Amino acid sequence: MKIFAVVFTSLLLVGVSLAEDDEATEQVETIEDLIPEGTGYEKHPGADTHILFTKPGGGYRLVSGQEAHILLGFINRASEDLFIDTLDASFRLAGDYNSVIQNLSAVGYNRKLSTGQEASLFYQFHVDNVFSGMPVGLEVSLMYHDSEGKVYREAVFNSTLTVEEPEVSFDAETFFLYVFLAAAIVLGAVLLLQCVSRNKKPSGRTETGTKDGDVDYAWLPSTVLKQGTPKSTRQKKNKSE
Amino acid sequence: MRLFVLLACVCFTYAEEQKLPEARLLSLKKVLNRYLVENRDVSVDYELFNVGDAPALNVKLTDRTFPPSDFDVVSGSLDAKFEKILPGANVSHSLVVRPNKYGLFNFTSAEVTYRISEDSTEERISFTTEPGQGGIMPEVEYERRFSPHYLDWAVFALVSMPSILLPYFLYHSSKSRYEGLVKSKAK
Repeated sequence: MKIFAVVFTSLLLVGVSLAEDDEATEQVETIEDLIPEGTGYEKHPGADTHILFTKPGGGYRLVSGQEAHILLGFINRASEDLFIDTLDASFRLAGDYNSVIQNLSAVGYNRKLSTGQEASLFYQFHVDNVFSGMPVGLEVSLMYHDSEGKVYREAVFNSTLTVEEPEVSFDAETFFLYVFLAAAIVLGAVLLLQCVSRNKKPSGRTETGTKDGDVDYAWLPSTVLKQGTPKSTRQKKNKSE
Repeated sequence: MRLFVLLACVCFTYAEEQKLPEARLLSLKKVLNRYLVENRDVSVDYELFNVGDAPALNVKLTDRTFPPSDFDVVSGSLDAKFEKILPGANVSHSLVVRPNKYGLFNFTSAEVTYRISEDSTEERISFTTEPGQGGIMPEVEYERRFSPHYLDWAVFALVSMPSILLPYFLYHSSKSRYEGLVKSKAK
């Protein structure tokens, strides 16, 4: 009976923990879900935002190794003044918005918008080469406050984008591949020529010293040459003896 | 049941009203120069993007941020008017100004006003982006950094000339003297 009770409680515990796991995986989706309720970080009902990627252009795109420019439009449809504070962005792991890969700097704007007015904000950042070809979650969030000082935070863009590789006409990798191939071809040709020339018999003249008599006496002074062909010193010695 | 249908109708019309097509302009103001220099041209570019779903009518762009005491307008104008910007379209306007003072200058936003749709008379006031604070360099400083320095090189050549020319003349005089000696001997 005791064993049965233990098994039952353990099963219950496992079940509870499994349920908790399920909840954890289902839960976190966007930044809005991450921010705890009741902290004042919510969207103002009168704030109307629109985001436009002006660089690289062509919709929501990011290209690695290049600047990205974002233009954000903000219309104050509320009946009170709104004050735009900062705009910041962050790269998050696609699918898991808890994991921030890179936080980008927050830019302060400090602009006041009266009722019915519209303002545009400019934000630019550099997309690192590391993200090349990788899906990343980009989250752009805007902080603003109303005349009572209540702070609002709104994720104006929160989506997963695949970072594209830049289109370059000059690819260093292929260029050096061709250079290497050209070098290999030249080396092969040189080796082939050497093999061919080694097979031929060498027809160079052999060294014979001064036997041929073609000795150049031009370096000698003319007075010495007039005396006739010089005899060896040994012969001279023999004569004097 | 009837009441429900009526309610649904009211809700529908309300929703329709909420989704009236309107124009929406995102406006960008940017300074194209890398260096802002006193008495030299500064190009300012304005771009208006209509991201709404109705044409923006009677669009007026006015930039009151270049006071005549600090800036001369070289080309273009501080006001621009566009009759109509269709949804999805964008227009641009450029301006060249010349600052006549150096120091820090805060480039703030220009103003854009437009009618939000053909059916509406509502005029919306919109502000462009702010390029932010920029330092305007004194012309002398700019010259010192980026001019080709022709005068400086000329002065340098003049100053370094004696130390090269003096030994050359000494060498030349002695050489010509010895050459003259050799020639007279040969004769």
